Amino acid sequence: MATAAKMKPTDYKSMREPIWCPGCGDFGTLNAFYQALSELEIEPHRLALISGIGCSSRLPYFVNAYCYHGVHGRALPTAMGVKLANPELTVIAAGGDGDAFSIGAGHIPHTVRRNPNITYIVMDNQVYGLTKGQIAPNSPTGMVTGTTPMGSLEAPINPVSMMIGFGATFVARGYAGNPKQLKDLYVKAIQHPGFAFIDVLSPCPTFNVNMTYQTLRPQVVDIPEDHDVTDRAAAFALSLHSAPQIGVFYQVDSVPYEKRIRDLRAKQVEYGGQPDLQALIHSYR
Amino acid sequence: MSDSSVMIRIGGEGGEGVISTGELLSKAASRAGHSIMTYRIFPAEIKGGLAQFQMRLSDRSIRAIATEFDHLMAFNQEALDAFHETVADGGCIYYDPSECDLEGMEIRAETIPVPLNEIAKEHGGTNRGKNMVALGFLARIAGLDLSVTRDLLTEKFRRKGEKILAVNIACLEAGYEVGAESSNGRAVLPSPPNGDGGGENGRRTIVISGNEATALGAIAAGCRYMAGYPITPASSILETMSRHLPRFGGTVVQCEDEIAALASCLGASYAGQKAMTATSGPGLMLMGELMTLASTQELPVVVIDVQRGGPSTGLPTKQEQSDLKFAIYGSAGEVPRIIVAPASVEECFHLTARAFNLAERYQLPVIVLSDTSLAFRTETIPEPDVSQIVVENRLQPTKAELVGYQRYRDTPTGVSPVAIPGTVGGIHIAGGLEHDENGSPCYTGSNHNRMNAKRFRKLETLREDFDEWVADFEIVEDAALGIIGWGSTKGAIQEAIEMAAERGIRVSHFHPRIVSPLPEKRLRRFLEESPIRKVLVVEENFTGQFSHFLKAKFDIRPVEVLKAEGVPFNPSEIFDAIVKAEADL
Repeated sequence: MATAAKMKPTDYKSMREPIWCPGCGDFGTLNAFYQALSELEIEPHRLALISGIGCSSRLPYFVNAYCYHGVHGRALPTAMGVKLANPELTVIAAGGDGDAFSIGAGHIPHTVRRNPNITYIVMDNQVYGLTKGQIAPNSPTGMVTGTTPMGSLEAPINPVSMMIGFGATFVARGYAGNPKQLKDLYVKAIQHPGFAFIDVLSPCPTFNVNMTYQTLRPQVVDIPEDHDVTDRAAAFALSLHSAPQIGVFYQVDSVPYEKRIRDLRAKQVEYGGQPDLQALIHSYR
Repeated sequence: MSDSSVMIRIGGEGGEGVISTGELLSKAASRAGHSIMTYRIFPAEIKGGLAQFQMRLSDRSIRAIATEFDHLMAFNQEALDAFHETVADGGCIYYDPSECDLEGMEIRAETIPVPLNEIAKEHGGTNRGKNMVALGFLARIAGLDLSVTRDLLTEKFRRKGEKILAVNIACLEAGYEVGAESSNGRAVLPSPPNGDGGGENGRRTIVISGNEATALGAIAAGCRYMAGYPITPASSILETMSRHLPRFGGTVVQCEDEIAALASCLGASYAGQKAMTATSGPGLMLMGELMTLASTQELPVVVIDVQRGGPSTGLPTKQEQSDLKFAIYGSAGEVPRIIVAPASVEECFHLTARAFNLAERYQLPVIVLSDTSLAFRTETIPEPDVSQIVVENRLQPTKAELVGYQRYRDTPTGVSPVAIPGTVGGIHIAGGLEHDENGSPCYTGSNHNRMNAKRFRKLETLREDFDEWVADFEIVEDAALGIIGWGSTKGAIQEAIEMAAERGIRVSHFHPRIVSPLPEKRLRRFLEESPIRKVLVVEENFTGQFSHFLKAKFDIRPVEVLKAEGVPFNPSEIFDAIVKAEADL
C-alpha cells in the first residue's frame, strides 16, 4: 500500500459511494475532510471514525478508515472509549445536529469536561433529513416542518455558544461552501491536543429551504483576523452574532484526558507498587 | 443449622465501628481457619441510625446465612430493642450497661453486661476504642486465638502510627480478657484443624465480597477498561476497579449515565481492549439498545447486572432475582447473547473471568447476573490462583485473511476473525445496520437470514463447546424430587436438601452456571434420565421467570417455589417446600 507521505485525498475514499441527495452540503464537508487527512498524512489504518444515526452519520462509510456506525446519539462516548483504549489512533466523531444536540446532547458537557483528544464534526443543517423533514434542536423558531405545521414553538440551540459555555478547548465553525477554509479548520482541530468541536454549516436542499448555499452564501462572515482565540468572553460574544461567523472561535492549551489517565496510572504504581494481581488478591486475607 | 456453626449479630449507632468490628472479626475468624459468611442490610435512605453486621462462622464450609442468632452484641439501646428477639433460645446477648437499660424488657436469652465504653476510656482516654473492645470480646467468645486478631489489627493500623495502634491493641486485649471471664474459658467453636493464621502450612483463604470478587475476576481475565454509572448495589465494583485497575495499566471512567458507560465500553472493545460495565436493573434497561448493537457488531463486552428488588426504583437495597427475562429477551430484534449467573462469592470471581473468555471467543455481549445478596456479603473463599486462570482472546485474522479481508465472513462456527484498528489491511466498518460479510449495509431478505444464522450459529458452537462447568448437578439415586435453581440461591437449596436427607427425603439438584443458552442436554439428562417425578423451581422473584423459561423448552409442570420479599431464601423455607412436594407426590 502507499506510504502515508504519498497519500492523496482520493486515497481516503472508500469503495462505497455517498448516498446523499444532490446538492447536499455533506459532499463539500466530506471532500474537505479527505483533503485534511491527506495534508496531515494520517495513515488510514490508524484512523478511527465514529458516528451515530442520521444522513451525515453515514460519512464514515465513505472514508477509507476503521469505521464504527453505532446507534443514535452515542458517537461521543464511543469515540472516547476508542481513544482511551488506544491513544495512538486518530479518533474522529461525526454526525448531524439531531444526533449531537438532541438525543446525544447529554454526552456533550461530559465529553468536554474530560477533554479526550478527539475531534467532533457536526454537519449542521438545522433539520432532520433522514426521517424526511422534522425540526432539529437548532431549527429557528417558527420553522415549518412535518411536526411543526404551524411553525416551531421552540427556541434554537446555538451550538457554538453552548460549546464555549461548557468549556470546550477548541471551538470552530466552518461552511461546506468554503472547502478550503473548512479543510484548514479540520487540520487545526485534529492537531488540537484535546476535544475539538467544529460546527459545519451544511445545507439541506431537500428539507430546509431556509438553509441552502444560496441563502447561506451572502450571510456567512469570516471571524475577524484580530479576534483573540484565547479570549473566552470575546469568543462567546462572537458566537451570538446574527450573521454566522466562520473560523476558529476559541482555542486554549489543554491536557488531554488520556494523558491525565496515564499520570494516574503512574501515581497508583507509586502508591501501591508494581501491579501484582496475586498480591492484591492475597491482601484480602 | 449445623451444630458447629454460630450466628453473630452486632448492632449499634452508625459510625460507632459496628461494621469494622464485624469485618475484623470475620477476617480473624477466617485466618484462624473458620469459614465465614457475612451479610449486611442497608437502609435505602442516607442517614446514620442503626447499623448492623451479621455473620455466620463455622469450622465447616458455609453456604447460606441463617436468620436466628446465637450471639448479639448491642452497642446501644436501639440495637438491643431492635434485635433481642432475633436471638435463639439458649443464645446470649452482650450489652453495654452504660448505654442499655434492661429494666422492664422481656428478654428470653441470657444477658451479659460488657462495659465497652468504660474499658475503652480506661485504655484510650475516650470511648473511641469501644469497637476494639467488642472485637476482642467476641474473638474470645468465638474461640479465636488472640495473636491472630492482634496481628490483623497491627496490619490494619500500622499506617496510622504507633500511638493509635497501641491504644487499639490495648482495647482489644482488654476486651479479650473480659471475654475469657464471660465464656468461662469455653469457646463456642472448636479450633479448626487447618488454621491459616498467617502460618505457612495453612490453606490460603481470603474474605471478600461478591462485588470485590467480580472486580478482581475481571482484572484476572484481562479487563483493562471499565466504565460505569453509580447504582446500588453495583457501585462497589466501579469503586474497586477505580482503586486498582489504573495500576494495572487500565482505565476506569465514571460516566454521565449507563448509556455512555456501555457506549464507551463498546468503543474500547472495538479498539481491542477487554471492557466491562457494571449496573443494576434500571441501568441494564437503559443499556438495552447498545446491547443489541454489540450483538450486531459482534463486539465482545461484559455487562455485570447486580440485580436488586424491582420494578422501577423498587427496593434498591434489597435482594431479588428478577432481571432474568429482561437479560434473556430484552431486545428489539433478535440477538445472541450469553447469560451466566454466579452462585457464590467464589463464583463471582471465576464466572466473571469466564464471562470475558466467552465474550472474546464468541464476540458478543455476556451478562453476568449477580445480585444484592452476593454483592454485599463476604465469604471465606479459597484464594484464587491467578496462574490457573485461563485467559482467552478474540480471534484475529491471519496475514492471508487480511488479503480481501471480510470482517463478517460467514464461517462454520459463526465466529469471524476481527481486525483491531491499527492493523494494516484490516480496515472495515462495524455497524448496527444489517450488513453483508464486508460490513456494507445490505437489506435483502436472503442476506438478513444469512447473517442472523451466522450470529446465532455462535450459540450452537457454544453449546458444542459446553464443558463440565456450565452446570452443577447432582442426581441422587431414587430421588423422586428434583430442584432447579439459578444464581445465589444455590447454598440455601443445598442446605435444604441436606435437611431433607436427614428426614429421609431424597432430592436431586440442577444449578446451571450458564443460564442462557441453557445447557439443554444436561438438563434433559437430569429431567428424563432420572427417577425424578416432580420438579421444584426455586427463585427469588414474584412471577417465576426461570420457571417460564424452562417451561418454554421442556414439557414440565414445575412447582414454583418463589420468594420476592427483599431477602434471600432461608434454607428452612425451601425445606418446607420439599416436605410439601414429597407429601403431594
